[in-house]
Amino acid sequence: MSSTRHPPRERPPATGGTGRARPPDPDLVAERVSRLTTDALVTRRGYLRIIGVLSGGLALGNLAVAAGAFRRPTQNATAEVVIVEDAGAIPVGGSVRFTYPGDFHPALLLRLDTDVFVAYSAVCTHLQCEVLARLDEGTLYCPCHEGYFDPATGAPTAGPPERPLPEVALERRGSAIVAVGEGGLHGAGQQQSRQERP
Amino acid sequence: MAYPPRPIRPLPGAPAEDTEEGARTSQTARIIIVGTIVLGQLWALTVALEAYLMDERAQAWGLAGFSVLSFAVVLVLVHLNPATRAGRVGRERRNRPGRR
Repeated sequence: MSSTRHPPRERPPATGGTGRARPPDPDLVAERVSRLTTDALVTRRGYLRIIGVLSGGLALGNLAVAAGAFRRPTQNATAEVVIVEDAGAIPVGGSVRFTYPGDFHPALLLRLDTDVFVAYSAVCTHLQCEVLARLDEGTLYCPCHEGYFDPATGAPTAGPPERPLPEVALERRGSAIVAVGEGGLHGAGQQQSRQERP
Repeated sequence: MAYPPRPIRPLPGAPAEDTEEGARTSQTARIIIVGTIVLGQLWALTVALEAYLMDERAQAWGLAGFSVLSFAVVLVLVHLNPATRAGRVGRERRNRPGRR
């Protein structure tokens, strides 16, 4: 079988514009060979120190987590926000979107029955998308990853969320409904009874 | 007439870490152990965050304690760095009085 492969093309020698071949600089060649053949600059002891620093950072991060550096928006909230002036304007099975405790923390007020109002943080506990009220289907729905929550408790019922939606504590003041803090995680114990939606 | 320096070898019956190969093995083993501990710390961090967000503070603090203890073990392993005989003798020679 005859070979059809061509011999490697040789690069023309650098002439530096003079037309004559320039010999390679021996110092430059030695430096390049040295770079290729010397050991890695990070030694085993260096690796150990790097991993040690990483371990210290993880320990500090864990302490910060336990001390509350990454709390939920509604956790320890004490602000009072009037959600609706006239609660009767919300039909049974209706919902109102509001923000609590800050302007960037969406929440949902739901009217489950004539005298039953509940409110939850609308920040999905999976990846923090905004949860939508679908009370006609009997659920709260996160459109990002198909997460479902129980409107009565805030517990996750299907999809990727594992933690319940934090409840917002409410107060009736005359006909108005006021958010007064976080009401806790009421659906926390219900995760074991999660059922997949069809 | 100047003689070249004699090569420094481990003494007979010396511990394995006196040789370059022994020291290298010891360091590699410590890197593997420390890496495993760091993986455990990563796990603890994720579980602690989940526990804190579920209002389970005691569990979060327990995991933080585990992580700090792990760091202490890592510190011991990092500083447990025995020198080879060649390293010890070389250091002694460099620190010998009268040496410029």
